[in-house]
Formats: sequence, structure tokens, C-alpha cells
Amino acid sequence: MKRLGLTTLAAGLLIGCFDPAHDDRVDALGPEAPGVPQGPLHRPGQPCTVCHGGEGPGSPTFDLAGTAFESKGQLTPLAGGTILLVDSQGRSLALGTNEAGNFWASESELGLSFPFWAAVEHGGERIEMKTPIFRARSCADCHADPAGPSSAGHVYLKATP
Amino acid sequence: MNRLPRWTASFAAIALGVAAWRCSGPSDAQRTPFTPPPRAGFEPVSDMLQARCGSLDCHGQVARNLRLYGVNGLRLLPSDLPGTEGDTTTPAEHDRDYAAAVALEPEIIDQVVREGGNDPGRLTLLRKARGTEAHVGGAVIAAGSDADRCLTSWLASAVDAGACSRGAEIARPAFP
Repeated sequence: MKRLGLTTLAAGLLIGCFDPAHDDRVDALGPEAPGVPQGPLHRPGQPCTVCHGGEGPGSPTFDLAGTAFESKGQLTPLAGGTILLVDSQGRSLALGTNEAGNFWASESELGLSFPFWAAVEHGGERIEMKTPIFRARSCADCHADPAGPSSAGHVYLKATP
Repeated sequence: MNRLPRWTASFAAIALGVAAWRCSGPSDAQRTPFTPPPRAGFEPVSDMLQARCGSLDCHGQVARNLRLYGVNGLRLLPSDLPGTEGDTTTPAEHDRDYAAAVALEPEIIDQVVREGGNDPGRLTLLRKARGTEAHVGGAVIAAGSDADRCLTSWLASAVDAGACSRGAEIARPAFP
């Protein structure tokens, strides 16, 4: 009887460790793009913190992450750009974009309080977000492609190519 | 054709009578009409809620119970996009925002409105916004602020449009 109880408890704890909603979100991202290994250049435009938000399966964990593209309506990554963030206390952070346009703030690096504002900058050009970020840690939570009633479309520097 | 026994007919008649009585609704005298805050003049309240609560990462999502539509957040028409330059929140979106706010706790909002907006903190909408009740978004409307006056004036059926307009503005510090 005691053994049965312990087994049931162990099974319950094990089952309790799974989050099917999180697993569904991870699965919905699909497989890696062919020829792109897991790493800083993978999965541009996807909601990074689904996997890199602390619940796995991605590692490391990011406080905030996303992808910037050169212009609205096309998918050339914005390489060498800067993402500027500033919160209502005036604290700021600048993040660089890599070859894939990806950028991220590692765990505990963000140092800002919600809400905060974002701007994309490159080569003397700058575009600022109209509204603050209230709680999303992946830009693609609100900036997924294609643009539609519930998405503003991807993050870009130029409104026209 | 055989006739039903008299007791069967009597029983059926009584059953029908009881059913009719039990299934009928309350009389008009017993009904209490729902008294929501006014829809007229709600637009500035809606704009304030949209700015502070209705971003795409908060209540501008279809899965939220307080689902807010607006020009810079969730759009109602499939052809409309968030943040379109020169666009405005549509009357149909204001209608949806009104319905979302009023339908959260209809019995309580009815009481608050009947009592002239007294003790609006009875509403979860206020408590969540003020952060006095657990809220993932934290305190997005400080008690006594313009945004707060906007909401409470609406509940008192006297919308303070100026407070709403000021409350919809969220000061942004300059980028470095």
C-alpha cells in the first residue's frame, strides 16, 4: 500500500512537470530551416522566448529577443542594426542585430521595467515604436508575419524598401 | 376511442398547470432592469483603455476576457491592421470595448451605476487596473490619476473626457 502511494505521488509529480500548452507552442514553431543550425542565426522572425523563455527547450534563456528586418513587406534581415530600449524611469539598453537580424537580451541583462519603448536604428535612420511594450518578451508575439488584425507584421527599419 | 380515466385527466391538467407556473419567468414587477454605464460618450473611455490596457501583448488579444479593440491594438475587421498611420478606432470597435467592459461583472457594475458610481473598487476592472488585486500587467492606472478619473466618471455616468484624453497619453522618455 505504501509503495502504491509513493508510486502515485511520483507519477503525479512527473505529470505535473509538463505544460501541454507550452509544448503546443513549441511544436507550432515547426522544424529548423534546412541548412541553418541551432544557434544565434536560427529561426528569424519567430517568437524566441517560447523556447528561450526559461521553460525550455532552448538554451540560453533570454529576457527579451526578436528579429529586425530592413523594410516592411520584405524579409532581408537588418544586420548590424541597433535596437534601442528605454523605460519610463529613463533607463535604456542598446542591443545589436546579427546577420540574421536577430537580437536578444540575455537573462538578467534587460534591467528595464515594463512598459518600455523600442526603436530600430541603422546608418543614421531610426524608427520608433508607436506604443510601448507592456509585457511581451518576444517581439514576434505582436510582430509576426503576415500582418493582420492581431499582428503589426515584422519589425522593420524602413516603411518602404 | 377509449376515454382516459378521470384521475389521469385530472393529474395531467394539474401537471400542466404546475409546469406552466414553474417555467414562467418573473413578472415585470419582479424584473430589475440592467443599468450599465452609458454607451453614449464612451469613446474617450475606450481610447484610454485601449492605450493603457489594449496593447497586442495584453488585452488586445482574442483570448482575453476583457478583450479590447483599437487602432493601435487588436482590430475587428480582417482588413484592418494595428497601428496604421492616419487610421482611427472604429465605432464597431468602440462597441466591442464597451461590451467587454460592461459584461465583466454585470451585477456589480449595475449596482455601482445605480449608486452614482459610489465605491467603484467593487469592480475587478478597477482593482486590476489599480494593481490592488493580482494583475499580470501590474498597476496600469494609478488611483486618483487622470486615467482613473476617466473610468470612475464613466461609472458615475458623467464621463470626464479631458481626464480620459490625458489618461490615454503615456509619457515616453527620450531615447538616448
